[in-house]
Amino acid sequence: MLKRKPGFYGIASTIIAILLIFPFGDLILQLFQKPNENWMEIKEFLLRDYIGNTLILVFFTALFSLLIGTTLAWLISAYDFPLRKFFRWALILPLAIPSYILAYTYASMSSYTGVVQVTLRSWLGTGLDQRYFNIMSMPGAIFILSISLMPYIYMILRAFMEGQSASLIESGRMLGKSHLGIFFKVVVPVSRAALVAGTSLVVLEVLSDYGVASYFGIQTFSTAIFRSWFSLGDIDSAIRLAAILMVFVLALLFLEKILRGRRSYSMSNTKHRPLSRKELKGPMAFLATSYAGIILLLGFLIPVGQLIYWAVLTYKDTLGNEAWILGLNTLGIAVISAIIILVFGIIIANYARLKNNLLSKIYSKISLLGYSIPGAVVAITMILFFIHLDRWLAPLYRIILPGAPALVLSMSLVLLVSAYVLRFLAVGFQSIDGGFERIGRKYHDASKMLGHGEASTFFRVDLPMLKPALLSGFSLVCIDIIKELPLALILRPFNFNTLATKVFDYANDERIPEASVHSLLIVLIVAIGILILNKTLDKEKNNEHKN
Amino acid sequence: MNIKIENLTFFYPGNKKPSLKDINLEIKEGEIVSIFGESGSGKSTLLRLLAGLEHKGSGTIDMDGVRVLGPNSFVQPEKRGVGMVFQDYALFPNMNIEKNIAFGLNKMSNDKKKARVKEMLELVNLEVFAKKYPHELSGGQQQRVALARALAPAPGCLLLDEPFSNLDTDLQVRIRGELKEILLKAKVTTIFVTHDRADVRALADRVAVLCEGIMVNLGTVEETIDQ
Repeated sequence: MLKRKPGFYGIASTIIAILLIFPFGDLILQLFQKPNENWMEIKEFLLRDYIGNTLILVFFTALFSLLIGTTLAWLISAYDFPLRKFFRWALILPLAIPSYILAYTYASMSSYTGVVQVTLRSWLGTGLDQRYFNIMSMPGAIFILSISLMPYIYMILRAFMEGQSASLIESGRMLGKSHLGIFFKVVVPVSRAALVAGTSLVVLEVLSDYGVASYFGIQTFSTAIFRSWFSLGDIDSAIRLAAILMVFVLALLFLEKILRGRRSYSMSNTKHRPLSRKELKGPMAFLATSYAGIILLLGFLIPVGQLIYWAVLTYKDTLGNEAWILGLNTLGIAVISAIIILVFGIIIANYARLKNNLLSKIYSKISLLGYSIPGAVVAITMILFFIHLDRWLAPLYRIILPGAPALVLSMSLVLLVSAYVLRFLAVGFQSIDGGFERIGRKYHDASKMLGHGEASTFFRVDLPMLKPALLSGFSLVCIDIIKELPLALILRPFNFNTLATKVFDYANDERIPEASVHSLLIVLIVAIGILILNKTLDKEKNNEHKN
Repeated sequence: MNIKIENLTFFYPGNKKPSLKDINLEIKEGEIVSIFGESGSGKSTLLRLLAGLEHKGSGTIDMDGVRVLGPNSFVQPEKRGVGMVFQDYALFPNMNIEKNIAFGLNKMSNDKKKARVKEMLELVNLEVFAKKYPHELSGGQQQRVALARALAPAPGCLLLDEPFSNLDTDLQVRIRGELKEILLKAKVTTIFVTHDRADVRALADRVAVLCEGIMVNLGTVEETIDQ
């Protein structure tokens, strides 16, 4: 006979949750220290610019991503036009190009010696006036971020719209509404939760962006945190800026909750019949194909074409052993972090599924926390925490590692991997949690009733059924880590580079063409990941329909 | 298996009203007992407490003299020697029928396992479907596989949660007869939950009628629902 005891999942989830929030203790404590002179200066002269620029960048990027993402998702879900099937998956591809690479590429293409200006000069004998067509500006940054982040909204909305029952749209038609009317009166309100979810993702990404803003010279919170820390050596001000940025993020999360509302439009009571697409003909078909085509050209084909052209010119100098080592470094660190994230995600999501109590709900919320926190803030939090940890472990180092430097963990890959786990656990957790939700408890209960314990049930029943969710979680986490820049830039150990940091270094030295081979390697790896993900999700959807 | 339930009360987290209140019930070996009531009456909760899938109840449950639920004791579902057929069968979609049935036969040699699976397939008349997957079977066939899987480890007690609710009306009539025959052959104590009087009449020796978590009547079919 057994007494009721806390199980493995309960204990392990508690440990993981503590590990996830513990580092923030240092950050909060630092805020109560007396501010230095530098901070007073930032507060008086610079803070207004940081807030203003960040808000402009966030607002307009969200607006344009929303416009492009929503219209494309509706076009692909509700209409048939030439190349629709190709665009359905190809429009996700801009996600494969990290926004900083898009920024370097477009900036270089539109510069005086770039392909755009040279072509215009040789064809028309005139160039673009840099006063009006300078991409390295706020409108330029908005263009780059909108085109690069638009697929988040497109993907979430497309999945939502394709899953809608046709009856809603058909009732709209029967009631005499035009297509445009149905779109605004029916589709948009019904998709509100998906729209808000997609837009929030875009806003969080903009708040986290460092590469685009820093290259274009726009002072945002992320760039200011880096500047305070690296250029001025002022960690105190960096922490205060990080704290203000977190207030923005919390306000956004609160706003998101309000905007999503309490109403959920579920179709559970009607027999599901997917939307039947309307065939577009003539000029309308041409317009639809052209619109999707232009977005794909701007977001993927043009920049990739330019990168390929540069790579052909420079590969002899740049595609050496070093590039492959960087590729392996990048993949290695992504895979290690993704495995840890999946293990943590499984433990917390399974605990939430099995217990479904207040504690398990809190743990789930904690695991989602990291994704809302911009990379620069995570970087500061983790470095402070690891320096303290190293000081605390110093006596131990003296025994087991005599002669080692004072900072062991803070100078190692452990720091970078831990930061990735903190930042991207939410991505893995959400896939796994969704997987568990689809499986439900019944198979677990059936296995327990047939005499299998927790471990055996997990490995023989849950794990095989969880495979698609694990595969999508793994791909998503790897994609995010391979593209990630600020964490890798700050937390990498000395002499350790990833493809992303190398691209940044080249761009900083104004050697954009030389960055092309490494950029293409990132795009290639991420594109493969995205295509695997897309296939897995489509397969899962088909299986659901079959069952 | 003899089962004794005393003063069993159960609250779902966050609910002020109990889902079950002061349930007392004794079931003798080989008996077929129906827990009958409307939705929300607490009948499935009672079944889950017997199975060990819920464990926050107060009161006690004894199985063959062993306390499986009490103030300081709780026996995990896998240690109770109880089989269960779920409302939607919960057949593992990644395993074929043979593997689903063999799943609960943990401590047997492979030869014995094979023999037991064959025996169970014969019992439910599904020998030819051994290599098929759950989604390739009809609802009635899936229900019989679930029954064979639950009976394979020779449990002391079989729990059935709304066993016919997922079947068409015509099929329900046929399967009820088959189930009674199988249960009599297996000689196993059976507790089944239903809201359908026809199920009770076809199968039960005794009926416990639940209403809003309280047991309002207990007796034979004639003494309870026919009144």
